[in-house]
Amino acid sequence: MILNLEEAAKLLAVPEVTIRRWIRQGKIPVREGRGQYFFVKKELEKWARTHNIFLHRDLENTPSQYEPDENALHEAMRRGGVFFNVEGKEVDEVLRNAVSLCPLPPQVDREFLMEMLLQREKLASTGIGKGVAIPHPRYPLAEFSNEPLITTCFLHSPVDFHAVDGIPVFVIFLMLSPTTKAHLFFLSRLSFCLRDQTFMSFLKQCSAQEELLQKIAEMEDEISGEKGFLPASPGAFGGP
Amino acid sequence: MRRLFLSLHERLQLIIIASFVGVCGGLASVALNRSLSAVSTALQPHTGHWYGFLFPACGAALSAIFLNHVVKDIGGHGVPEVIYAISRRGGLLRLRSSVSRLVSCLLTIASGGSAGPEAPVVISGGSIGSNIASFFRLKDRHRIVIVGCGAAAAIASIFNAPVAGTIFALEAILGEWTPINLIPIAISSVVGTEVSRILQGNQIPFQNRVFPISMIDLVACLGLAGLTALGSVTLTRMLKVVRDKSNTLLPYAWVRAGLGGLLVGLIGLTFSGVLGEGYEVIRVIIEQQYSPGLLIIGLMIVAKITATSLTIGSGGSGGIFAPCLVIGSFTGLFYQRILLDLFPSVSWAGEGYFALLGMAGVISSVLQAPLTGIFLIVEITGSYQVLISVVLVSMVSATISHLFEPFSIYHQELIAQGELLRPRTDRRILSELNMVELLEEDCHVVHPEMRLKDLVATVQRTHRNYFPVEDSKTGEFLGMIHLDDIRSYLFNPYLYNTVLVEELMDREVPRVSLEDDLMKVFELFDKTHSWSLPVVQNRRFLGLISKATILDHYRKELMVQEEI
Repeated sequence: MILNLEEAAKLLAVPEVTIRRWIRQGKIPVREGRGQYFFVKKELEKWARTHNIFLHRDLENTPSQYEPDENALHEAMRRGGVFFNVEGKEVDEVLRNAVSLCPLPPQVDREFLMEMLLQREKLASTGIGKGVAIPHPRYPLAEFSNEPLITTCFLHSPVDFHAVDGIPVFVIFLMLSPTTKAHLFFLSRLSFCLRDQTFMSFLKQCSAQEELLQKIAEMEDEISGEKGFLPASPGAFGGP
Repeated sequence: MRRLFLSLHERLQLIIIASFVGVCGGLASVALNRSLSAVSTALQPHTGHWYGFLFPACGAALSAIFLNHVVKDIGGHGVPEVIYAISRRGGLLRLRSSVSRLVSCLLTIASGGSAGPEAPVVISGGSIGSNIASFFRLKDRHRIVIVGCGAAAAIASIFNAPVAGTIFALEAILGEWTPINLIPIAISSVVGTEVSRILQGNQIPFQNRVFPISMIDLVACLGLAGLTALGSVTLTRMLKVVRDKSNTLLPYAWVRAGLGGLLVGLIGLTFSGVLGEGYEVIRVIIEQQYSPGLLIIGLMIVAKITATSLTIGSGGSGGIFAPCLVIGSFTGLFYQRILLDLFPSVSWAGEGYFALLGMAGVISSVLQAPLTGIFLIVEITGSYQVLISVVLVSMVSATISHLFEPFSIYHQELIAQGELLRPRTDRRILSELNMVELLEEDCHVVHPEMRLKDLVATVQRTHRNYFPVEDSKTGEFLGMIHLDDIRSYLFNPYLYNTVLVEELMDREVPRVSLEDDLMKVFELFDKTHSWSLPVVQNRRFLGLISKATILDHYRKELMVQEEI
């Protein structure tokens, strides 16, 4: 495969000026024809390997990362499913039931997920107040699911989650995200919904999956209308 | 033809070009050698006359006029130019340099100036190599090697010393030893030597006989090393003084050179041995037939040092090799005479032996290239028997003189100008990187009349910590906002509508321009403790330059330089 100057610059992640200088100095394998420089991709890759230079293509080959879009929250909630009258008197019991309800791929080790959730609860309760808890593993793990999912469980009877405000929890959102970025995104969207007084009172008497998802979709439209509220642009996290 | 050649493997290309350059370098040195002896013979009958002392003056002045006005090339001993071309210009040398130095050197030396034919041959060989390399469209990295080949061939053929030529090119000219350098240079050295042997016969310049070396001679060598170090430091300093003084006192190059030549001629009236390259004198000394006493020898050392400084320092064209050998042999002789006087009962190894060691010591110290000194002496005298003593004197003498004059005579000027850029050094990499390559253009420009609220929104949208402020009408760069400086206001919503960007920005932020040297930029980074600096050209903001990006490029540059 033949690359031109611009493509080679992109592959090596350096400016074209640098490539031109390297050609002049004879540092890079190049061919000339009709007054133009071109590169044989194989040669260039071999050269980069021997010089330990990172190829930009390596980056492209890694599986594409999940990018949340405007309807991400209610889609994730649909994937996770909504369940009512989930049994349990203790935090452990509730979580175990929630994990067993969660629609995970068959290869996932549910025991391991359970352990991760308990570890997180030990560090600090995920009960965020007003009777809501958002249990999640300590680290975002892509192995649980490549696509984020949120399993909503309305509890049969409120459970003491050691929440910040001490109010017993009546609903939990079990959140599994492949990346930190996605996790923060959902946390931010969900907390926006939960801040809303009417949504909270709706949540307390909600009784059907479609009802809840409909409401979430409405809320999300509202957020998307209000651009700038969320750090949704790529590169918002990390970087200097 | 050229296309066929270019399809060969790069090392094979280099080897073929190197042998070709070797032939040319050899021819250049033979040509200079022949014409030197021809002109000297022609002038011989006249040197005895009263006007003989004017010859060096005329020769030097003519050579300066020739260089500065006829071919418009700069004077000096030539080798620093080759090194400069290698470190700064990718080995590019002008074609005219291949001939101009030979002519000017001929004028200087044949008329009696105290200098050697080596440096002109080095620049000539280097320039031939450079132009051949350019003809074959070699890249900088390979052109540098070929310039080294030219220099090696020149030295190898003029001294009939292939190993010394190779080592000189690596040690003094290129400053790095890699397989890709070594092979072509060695080949070109051998070819150059062979050319001169075919044309001039295989003569060892200073054939000597076998010396009876004992343990005591080896011990005595150490004393000689001290003396040669003294001699070379004196020569180096004196050369510097003459050059600086003559440059400031006399504006015209030909007047400088002429006056220098005149003084040399006057010295030559009393000490005729200092004139010319002086190989005859060395031959006499090594054959142990130099009869004058200790005092005269001492004076000869001083006279030769003075004459050399005057010739080369005043702008005459010529090398330092031959004078070093002369000074060295006199120093050795001087030391041997002292030993004889102090310990008359010991049977010393002989005058020739000490003269050899003296030459090795002075050459190694002046050039700060001990290996070149060692192999040159061993090869031009054809005696491997003295190797141990030569190594000893060269190393000790080079070490001692290093304490006083840390840089070789070739590198001093370049170092003073900050232009000696050895491969793989920090300076070299910084000089190669260009500001344009490092410029980060993905910046978010803000305007002075924006409110803090808008700024916060901008901060949210970008991943930058620095925000350039531009006048919204004229586009003029006004200042910078650094996130760290405004962090405390960011979370204060009461200020969102009341504070303007204008009030937050740093107007006195240090700025750099595209032409700035990276060394300077780094000094500024260190001084201001900042991570990013704005690049401003004609009062317009072009982009940011940041330490993080520089590190990225710097590392790549280092990795690319690795030879595999």
